[in-house]
Amino acid sequence: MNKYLLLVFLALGSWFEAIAQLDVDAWNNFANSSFEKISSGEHDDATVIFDRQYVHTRSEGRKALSTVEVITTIHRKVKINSLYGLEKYNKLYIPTFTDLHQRLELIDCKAITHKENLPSVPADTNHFVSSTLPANTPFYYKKEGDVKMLAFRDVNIGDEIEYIYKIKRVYDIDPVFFYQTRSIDFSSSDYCLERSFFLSSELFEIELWPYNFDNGIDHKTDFSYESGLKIELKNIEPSSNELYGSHYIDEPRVVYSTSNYEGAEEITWSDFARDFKPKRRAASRSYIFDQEPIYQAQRQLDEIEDIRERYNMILDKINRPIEENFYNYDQVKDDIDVAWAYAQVISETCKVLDMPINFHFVESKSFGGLDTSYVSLYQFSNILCSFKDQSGEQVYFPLLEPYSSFNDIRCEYQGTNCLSIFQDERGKRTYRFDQIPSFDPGFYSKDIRITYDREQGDSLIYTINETVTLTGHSWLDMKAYISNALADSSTVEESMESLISNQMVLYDRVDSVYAIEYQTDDLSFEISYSYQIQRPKVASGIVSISPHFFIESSFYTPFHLRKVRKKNGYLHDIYNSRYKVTFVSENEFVWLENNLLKKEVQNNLGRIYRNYEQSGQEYTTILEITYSQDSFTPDEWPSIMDLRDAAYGFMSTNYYFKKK
Amino acid sequence: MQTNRFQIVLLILFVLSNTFLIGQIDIDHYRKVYKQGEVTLKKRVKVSFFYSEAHDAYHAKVSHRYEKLYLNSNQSKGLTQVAFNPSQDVQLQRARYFKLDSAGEKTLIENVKVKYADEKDYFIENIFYNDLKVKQFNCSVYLPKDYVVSYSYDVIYTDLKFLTSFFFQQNNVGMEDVEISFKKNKDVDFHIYQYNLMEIEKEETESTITYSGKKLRQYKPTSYSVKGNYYLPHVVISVEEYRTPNRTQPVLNSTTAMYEWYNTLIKELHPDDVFLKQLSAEITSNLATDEEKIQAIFTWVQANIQYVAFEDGIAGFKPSEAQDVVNLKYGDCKGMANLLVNLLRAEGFDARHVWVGTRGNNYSYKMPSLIVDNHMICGLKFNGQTYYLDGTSKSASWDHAPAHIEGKEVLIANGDTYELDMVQLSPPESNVLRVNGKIDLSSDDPMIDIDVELTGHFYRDFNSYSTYSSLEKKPNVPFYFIQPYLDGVKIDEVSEPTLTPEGVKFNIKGRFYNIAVSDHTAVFPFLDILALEMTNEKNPPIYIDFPQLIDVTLELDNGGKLASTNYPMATIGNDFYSAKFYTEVVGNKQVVRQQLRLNVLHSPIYETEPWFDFMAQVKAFNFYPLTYE
Repeated sequence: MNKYLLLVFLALGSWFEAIAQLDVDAWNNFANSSFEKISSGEHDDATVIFDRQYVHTRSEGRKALSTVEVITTIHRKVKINSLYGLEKYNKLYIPTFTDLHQRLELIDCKAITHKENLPSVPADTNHFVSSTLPANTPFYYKKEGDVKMLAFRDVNIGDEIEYIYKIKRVYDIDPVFFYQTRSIDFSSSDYCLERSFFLSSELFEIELWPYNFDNGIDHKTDFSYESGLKIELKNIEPSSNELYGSHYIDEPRVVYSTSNYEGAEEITWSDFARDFKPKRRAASRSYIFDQEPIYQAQRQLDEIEDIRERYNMILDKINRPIEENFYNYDQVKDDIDVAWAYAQVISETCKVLDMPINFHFVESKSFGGLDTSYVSLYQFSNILCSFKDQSGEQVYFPLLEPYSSFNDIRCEYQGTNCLSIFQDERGKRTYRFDQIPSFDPGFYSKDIRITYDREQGDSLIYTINETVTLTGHSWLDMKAYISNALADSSTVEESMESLISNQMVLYDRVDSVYAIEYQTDDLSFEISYSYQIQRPKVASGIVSISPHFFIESSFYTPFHLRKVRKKNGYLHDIYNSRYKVTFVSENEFVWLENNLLKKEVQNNLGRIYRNYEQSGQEYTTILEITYSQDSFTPDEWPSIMDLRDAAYGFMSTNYYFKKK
Repeated sequence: MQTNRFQIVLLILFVLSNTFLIGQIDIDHYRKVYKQGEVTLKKRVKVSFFYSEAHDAYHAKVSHRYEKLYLNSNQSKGLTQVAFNPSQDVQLQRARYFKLDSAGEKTLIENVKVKYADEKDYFIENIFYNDLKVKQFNCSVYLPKDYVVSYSYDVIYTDLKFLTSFFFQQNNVGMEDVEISFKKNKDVDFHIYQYNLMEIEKEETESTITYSGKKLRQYKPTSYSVKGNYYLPHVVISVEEYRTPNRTQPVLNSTTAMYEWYNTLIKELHPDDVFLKQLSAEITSNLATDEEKIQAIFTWVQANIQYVAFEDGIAGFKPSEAQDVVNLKYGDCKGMANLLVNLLRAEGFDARHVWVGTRGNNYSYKMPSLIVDNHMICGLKFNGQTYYLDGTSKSASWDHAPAHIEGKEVLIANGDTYELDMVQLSPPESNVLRVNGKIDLSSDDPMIDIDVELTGHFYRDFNSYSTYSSLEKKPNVPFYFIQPYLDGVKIDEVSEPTLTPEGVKFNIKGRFYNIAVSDHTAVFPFLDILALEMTNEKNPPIYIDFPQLIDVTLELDNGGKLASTNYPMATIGNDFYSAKFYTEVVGNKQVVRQQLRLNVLHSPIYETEPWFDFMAQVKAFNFYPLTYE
């Protein structure tokens, strides 16, 4: 775990002087700046010579109309290497934003174009244009709210643009309640020689958590800078957009929080587990149990003997509010505040009933792992619960998954490290860093049966029968949505049709889907349906069927990504899959046998097996994909490509028949 | 007596309004017909004119009433938007949301307080419309998947020039019942131009002209489709003049009148001649020939001015000042055209403002209406020819107009008069994509190795993508150009392109999947040279980028073995679109030849059968095998 924690209590005495100094340094640097000869990054559209951000948070203390001010100074210098870089950097966009409780003001701005061997050309900062940002502005300019826009003067390839501006964001808030967590991205779309981040404050405490800073890049671990904090990273390579890459897990970033007005005490994991704080005032306990008073729920639970049954009732009660307001599901499914509110009610309920319960604070695999040094609820995205049943089996259940059952833990949390808080019968809580177990990954499987039906004009008509079966991870990802659709008998038919049309039938121009049948239990879902397709009748008498008409394929590896792999890859959202395509013909067609359909690739990352068989007038091809790991290193990229190429070959190889 | 009559009128109005809004909806029927999405159950648009004494002018009032059904909608709060520009005054009248029970009975969910409707900037198709605003409202509670919204609003046009087109339907939206009517006024002369009214009936009385249609064909455009004005039913009203008690006011009674208005906007500009002269001198310093100077000015604008669209209201017609565009470094088409005109004039060239409807617009200047054109470019009279310079097109060169205005009529400023001209259409033979290469069948993994050559618009498009793409993505440009033609090919390698003044060449290597290998190997070597989506009668016509020729020669290498079959030359199509396919033996190799020639800018709008047949036949060649025993 390459993460660092620095908790610094900043002395109050010399703040104004220190901050003024920082500010003055930045503006002086700008005033004395000139063209710099650099040789790095010439193969990128631009080279960021430096990108410095100074953030100072201050307040005048508690008053009748209290405010907190966050003053940010941005100082950047960029060398332009291409036309694309020119268009990207020849304008400066400064966000402006105002709402009921916060205002953003531009305090000052200077901008200049430096030229080699020629005088620098300052921009006229009176020429700012305020505007809503045009929708077709390149994505890298996207900013919240309105912007002020300024064009640099006389910029050409080879020139350097430099700007500095100071903005002040004023929050109408009592400083005691001020809490701000921000993430600063240290990755860069262009080669960056230096990116620095300076933090300081008056009356607040700042905490820093840098992530992914040790990938062989020069960085400083001593963050103290004069009277503030500074993180600096040098020679940042441009971010690469690779398959299975995770910007969040691999790219350097800093999370910082500004809070604890006038130096509150440091909190530890023990405090966190013992006090179960902060209490979420916004969450209504009665709401969580679906308007049911807690004592009533406790009474019902008290009447149940069997441990599993008791916890099952808790799970039912947790699930019910989201089931009845399902449109909220996507918003709350990974909302740690909601999970926290649920956890607090469950904690209290279990304490009253003398039931032990465990809470597991988890972070999705897609967003990195547990940072034991970062004592904050906000590093987690969810909370799971567990208990021991009569047989001693540890049983897990989620808090924010409607229609869930025991051990319905989404793949993204399986096998992850977590913070576990163990609450005993008396309500006493201890903690331990722990791991969530992994459960059966299951399969996504699709069985496609293509039966030649008839000739109609210039077309051949085929009937397609498909059966899709979801188990394991693929089922858990869909379970809430499908169960919700099944729960309303008045619209279930429409919902299943919609599910099939939108997610299962890939062939274009299918008029209608019929013969829909489905069955489900806790562990799986199976749905079958039929439809007809029309294929052109060709004078050559050849018909071809390609699996990619029916199976979603994302196995194409673009040529430019094949040779070089820089970063790790993550297969977190990938399911093991089985596909079967059967062509049925009553003596109408002759199959053009194709040896290329047979292939098996097995390596440390997984296995691809593809084959074909003929039985009477039925011709079947199969593809099975199983993964052995959920991540890979750059060295393992060729193995992943072998698997992808074999799967792509199956999807792209036509299945040819000649009409008799 | 008068009170009673007033009450009766109120009662009738009440009954009528409720008849319009209340009733059973056969939702199963609509589900069967439209499956899901938006269905307009009723649309009523009434256009009338009224005299404004305060302005001593006639204004137009357009009343809109809609009842729309949403089937299986994901719009959880039913956001509804009404777009308008500053020349219009929009008054939302009423908006109500209903849910439907299983019998199709409507139950009111909310009577929206429309006076609190938001007003926002308008964004559509990723273009920011600076002057166009939108009034929007939604339901304050979550709506079921099926719901009905009925709403009405009036739009007042104070300037009758801006009263233009009325469409009977939109793409992808079912239209059950539509009526658009124009109330005649003895003091207002107008003309109505009709487009694609095959399913629309017209009825004219002494007081009103009414167009109506029921259960209109639903159009589902694809990414290749032409714009809706080519095929959707609509009418364009052009107000010629009106008479007030005090005066007669011409509006748009001719193309001349339209130009005169455009010209007044040009005359209002005040170019900073000193600044522009200095800039043009900097751009053209050390250049000797006129051609070099023109090229330098055009390239400077393409490279330095970012295109941002401001397309409606007065900003849709009046260019920004040239010096402002230079300072801001962005501009719309008019701003960029005006800058080009001024920079070229500063260097002594005869440069003009030119209006044009791009190929998205299917109108002619025979119709005096502001919707005829949607674009401004710079016209350059040079060496006895007129050149059309479009600063917004990064693929254009000064001596070749971009493809999106080829074949279009242009209106050229000429002081107080104007000229009409046509942007020349390039012949297919000047825009060629040529593929030469071989398929190697001798290995277990059949490979394809081809040389690609692009000329004309193909080349200019390639060059523009290549020049303006990021350095990281530049190596992928050849791939994106050739990939649509290589169905069944997995591209593994792409060479560095070689650019010449005539064209660009590059090489592609990859794996070839269109083969069945066994004792009777069959290879399907014809490429997908018609890289357009297959369409049928439900889809609108296809937009073709430019006239073009695609020419393929592929050699089959199977270790000296020859296929048992050969195809004699087959030619299909007509003078506008045609294709040739054949194979031949050259030495001990089988050679596959294909050629596609498109000399049209879109597929036929009417009588589409021959085009569909042509597409099917060309696509079918992908399934013609060569077999080896």
